[in-house]
Amino acid sequence: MAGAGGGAPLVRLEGVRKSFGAVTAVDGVSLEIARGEFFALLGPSGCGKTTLMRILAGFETPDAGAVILDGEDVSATPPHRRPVNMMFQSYALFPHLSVARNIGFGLVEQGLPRAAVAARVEELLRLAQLEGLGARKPDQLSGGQRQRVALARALARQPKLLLLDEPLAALDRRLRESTRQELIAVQRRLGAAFMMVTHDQEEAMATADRIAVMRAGRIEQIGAPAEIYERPATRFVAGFVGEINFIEARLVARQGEEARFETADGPLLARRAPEWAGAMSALTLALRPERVALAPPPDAANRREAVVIDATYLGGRSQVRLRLASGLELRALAPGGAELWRPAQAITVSLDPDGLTALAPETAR
Amino acid sequence: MSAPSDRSLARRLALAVPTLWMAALFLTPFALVAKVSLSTPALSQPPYAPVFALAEGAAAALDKFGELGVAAYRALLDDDLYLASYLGSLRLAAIATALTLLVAYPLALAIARAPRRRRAGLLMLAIAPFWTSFLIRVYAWIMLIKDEGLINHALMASGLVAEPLRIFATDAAVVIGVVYSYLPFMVMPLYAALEGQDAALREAAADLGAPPLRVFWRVTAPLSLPGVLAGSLLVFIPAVGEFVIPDLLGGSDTLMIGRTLWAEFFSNRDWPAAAAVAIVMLAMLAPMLVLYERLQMREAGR
Repeated sequence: MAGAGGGAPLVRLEGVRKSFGAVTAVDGVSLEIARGEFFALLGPSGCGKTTLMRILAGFETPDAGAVILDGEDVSATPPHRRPVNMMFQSYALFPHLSVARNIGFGLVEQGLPRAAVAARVEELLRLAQLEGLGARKPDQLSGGQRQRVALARALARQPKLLLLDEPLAALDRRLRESTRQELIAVQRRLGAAFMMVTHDQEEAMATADRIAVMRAGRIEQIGAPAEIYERPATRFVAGFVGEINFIEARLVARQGEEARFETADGPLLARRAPEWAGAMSALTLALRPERVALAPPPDAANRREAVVIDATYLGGRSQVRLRLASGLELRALAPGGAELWRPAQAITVSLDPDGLTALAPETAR
Repeated sequence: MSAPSDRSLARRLALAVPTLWMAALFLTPFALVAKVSLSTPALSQPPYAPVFALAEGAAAALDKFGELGVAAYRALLDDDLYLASYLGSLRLAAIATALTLLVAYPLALAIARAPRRRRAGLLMLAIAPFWTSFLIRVYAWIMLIKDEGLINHALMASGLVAEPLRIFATDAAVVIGVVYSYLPFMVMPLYAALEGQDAALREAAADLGAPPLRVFWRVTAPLSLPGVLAGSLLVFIPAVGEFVIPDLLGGSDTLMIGRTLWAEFFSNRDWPAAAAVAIVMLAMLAPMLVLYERLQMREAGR
């Protein structure tokens, strides 16, 4: 999919830094967003993702670093002169203007003649499935309709980059799924770059081509959703995105791509060796619950004896908590109901060598 | 069974207190003024007839009802002085209201956009001078604007004017006085309207390509209109009936209804005419008071 490289990127952030008083909100962020890419900034609240987006929109000026948009340094360009538009989390619809005037607001500022504005607004009303609602005021619309007005308004000027601030947060669960699909469809059709800010990892996974996971003003990892999920670079990313098991280990030997580790519960084989780790270095391995096989074939690698602690039915599958001989607790996902697993039952499990990922040690902050 | 009626009784009692208060202190004086306006002037104490007295009994009172009439109102129509006074009041109040808006808007905007922790202090600074006596502050303006006052002194000393500017005892002085005196009544509702605006709306406008001035005209200003209207009514309504400011700062030719009313009462001792002047002024301002009440209700309903 669209990644960095392959033609000049649309957006390039170089060492962007921003502090508010003693608080460093963005601490040296560099990243690239390709043309036509759906990019997500994912992180917990207060991680600096919103500040980074506001820097892209022009509402904040970075203390250091550069914002390059389409080859041009826009670090000091005010928001009204940037080919960037934003969909606000609160939607920020003008309460005194009709839906049509909200959508046409930016077109009027472009100096378009009245007839051209009206024609483009009609087109956008159709695109956003808001036909016939042009004369309404925002407070006469449902939450879903308001969201579509906000999207149509932000797309009216055909921005090179559309920023979406928690675009689905204000919608109820039912509406969220369909709206997410609409967002992706609109983005594909227009071919514009979208950058979404969210704290919801599922939303980011389901929507974005690439995700940047942020923590305390820095980027922990950038990659495709599957990469972030299957190969988390740090303990933070591994823990923030879905459920995961951590296993303390020591690298014993490499055999080509493979690596052998020693753990408190015996040797472990992993398909991928971490390039950065030297022999005998201590590190943490991460393993997703669905990579713990509860009824492994006799020749499976990384077999372990375990005792069931408890099992919780999640609908279609169950989460089983296990304890290994060393006392290490593991979570496993197994198909079927929870009644298949009795507490204190002794079973054999296997840890999928393809699923074991060595995490980089925590850098000093 | 008895609980709901108890509660409705309590509610009725709770409503009765303000109702009685308004009846005693507003409706009764109003009825008296209305009655005086329908009387005829007389050389007596009080200086009008008829005078009702409880001791005379009901029959005599009924007789006296026949003596009431609208002569005082007819006199208002006959003499151009009254019409000129009403129009003069409306004109000066309108000019002063517009100027107050021009002065108050930037002030309220600056306070509303100041850092949150400074707003209360700045608002206090804008309003604190008005805690001192109104009369003294209006008097102080005489010292500033009279021919040999501070302003003319400074202007002449700097060589900007050769002759002192004639401000004192003119309509301009009245306008200055009204603008100064009623400023807080304009600043407060404007500040409330501006401070309550969602900053994201201005950002959205800028994001959609509007430079700062356009953001003001297309978003900030229209959204502050309820505050503009409320402030304008709060200044205009009392300014129309203002007496102290035109009396102290105005010239002999400054025609305002408050002064005319004063003259009828104290110089001419024509109480019925004065009362009629007051009733007509109230009728004139009542629609505006209703408009202001509606506005407040709608804002409270939000």
